[in-house]
Amino acid sequence: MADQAERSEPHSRWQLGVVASSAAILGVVLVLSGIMFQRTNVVVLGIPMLLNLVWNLAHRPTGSGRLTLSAAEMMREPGLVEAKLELATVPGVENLQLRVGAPGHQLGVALVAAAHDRDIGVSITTARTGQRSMFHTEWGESAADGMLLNHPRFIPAIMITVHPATRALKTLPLPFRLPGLTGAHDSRRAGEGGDLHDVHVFTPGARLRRIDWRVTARRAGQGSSGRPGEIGELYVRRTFATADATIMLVLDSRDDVGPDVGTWDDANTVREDQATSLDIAREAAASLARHYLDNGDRVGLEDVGRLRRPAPPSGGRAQLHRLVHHLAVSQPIGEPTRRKRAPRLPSGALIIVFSTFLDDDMANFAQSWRRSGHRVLAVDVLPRLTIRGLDVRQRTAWRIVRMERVDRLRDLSSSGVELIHWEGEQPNGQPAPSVEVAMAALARARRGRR
Amino acid sequence: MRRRRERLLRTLRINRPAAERPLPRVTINTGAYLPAWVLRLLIGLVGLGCLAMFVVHPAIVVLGLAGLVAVLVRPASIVPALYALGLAFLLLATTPDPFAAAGFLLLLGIHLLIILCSVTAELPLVARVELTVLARPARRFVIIQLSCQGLALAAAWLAGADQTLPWIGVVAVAGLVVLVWTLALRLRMADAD
Repeated sequence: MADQAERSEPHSRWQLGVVASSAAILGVVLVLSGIMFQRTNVVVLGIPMLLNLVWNLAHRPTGSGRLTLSAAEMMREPGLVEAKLELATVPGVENLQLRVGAPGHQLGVALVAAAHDRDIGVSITTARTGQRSMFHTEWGESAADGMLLNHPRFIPAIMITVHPATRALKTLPLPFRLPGLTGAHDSRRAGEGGDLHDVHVFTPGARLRRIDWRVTARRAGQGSSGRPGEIGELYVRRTFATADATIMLVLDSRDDVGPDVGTWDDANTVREDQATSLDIAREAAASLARHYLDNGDRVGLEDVGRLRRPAPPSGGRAQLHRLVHHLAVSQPIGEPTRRKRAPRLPSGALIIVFSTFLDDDMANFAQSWRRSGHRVLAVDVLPRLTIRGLDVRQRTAWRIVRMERVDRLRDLSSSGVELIHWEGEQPNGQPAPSVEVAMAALARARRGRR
Repeated sequence: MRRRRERLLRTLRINRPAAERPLPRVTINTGAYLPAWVLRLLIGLVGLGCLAMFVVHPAIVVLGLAGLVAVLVRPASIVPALYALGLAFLLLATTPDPFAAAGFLLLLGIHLLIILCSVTAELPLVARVELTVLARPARRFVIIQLSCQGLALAAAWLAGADQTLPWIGVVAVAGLVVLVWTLALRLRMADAD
């Protein structure tokens, strides 16, 4: 949430409010009526109105304050988006009336004290992520019990990048083949690792510190020299090499659909408290990226909605920040350029595809990668759907789309692509195992192949 | 039957689908606050209290209540002043005694009503009103109210003493003129700044 913007608008046009004007007239009328009817108790009824008016006008502010809107540096908790209104006030101004809006939210309205400079926090809770324009603010100063009003001013919304939250995962699947000579995983080759591979005769290039003196002593005399007790050959303990895994996250940012099927047309918008498929994809991708990078693996990101590769595989904390930022800014951009071939990805990488699989493209790409020897994991990010409120034609259309999708996912599974439903619901509506359980099962299933 | 049940539940806001829930609201982090509806309720109570002193005819009560509803619906308008004017004329018509408690209470009530309407004028019922916002008006209210109650007492004493003081009216009008002149000068100076 690093985006920041500052907008303010100094201006001053103070005027009496309707209540103040009418109260002043009331005061005059009461005083004159009391005098006319010779009734002192009516005369004094008008005095407070006039005194109030005099007092307040005598202390009328001469200028106008400034209000600046800026986004908070970071999110304190997932889903909580905050910004700050910084007020620089002028003498005489007493209150500030704020009306702050955000997409999918009702206006927040408050009357706050503005006698001193201060910061006022504004926040919304949202299930949505990505770049969002929010916190358009209408503000108006008032003084003298609200009797004097400065004309309202407007601060346009600022663009805030809401980064996806990450889910803690314990065990994740690895690629079929682990390249490299260092890393957090055990390789099948002998090399510089921890676990014992075998005991082997010392050969040129073997390290002296790896000589196993017990085995060497036990085998003394059995070598080519033949004499008992005489050391002939040295034996070394060889260990399994370590290796790192290369993971490619492939995001399908071409569509972004909400849980309410009725909002899939362009006429309706998705509610702010409902995560869309792209929000779920961002969360899933960020969670997996974090886990793999924490384990020392190299993770890259490919967005099929764009033609350039956002982030090649790399490791470390900076790469996580880079990936999360790329995920946050990815969004459907018009009609995407149709790719004729699947993007080329590093050999031996585990490919994790995040898509709704509402069309054939991503399924074809996944099958293509699987045929070329990659381990491919398809993460279905379609939210739990509701079809309440659909008319007959929309229901029919949805049934057709659903049947095609079920067939597509079945084909994927049969072609060797492993499938996970991030929201825990299978295409037929049955509850799926949780992501943690499904991932752990996949990790166990392929562990023997390394 | 099932449809009726669903309709009833939806009307009662039970089992409402997620898409039909009210949208969440942007939170403005203020200090300690009161919801604006509390102040609106206070306006209603003050208005009702003022009206209760003049229950002389059912028609007046009905008209008064209608006026009070109008005040509650449109506090940011001329309606509160009209309501206060109506109360003052009720005082004029029904309470000739200058020492009557109704006069002193109405002095308090009308002033409070106008101040509350002024503070909460443009705010919707769900708005937050920071408590510190009310501190300054409260202080001013107390000072003006104390001086006006003292003035009312003095005026009542003068009226009760049955003394004819023709110069009082002249002094009052002259005072008003001086007040308006001073005010105009100050405003002009402020505008020049």
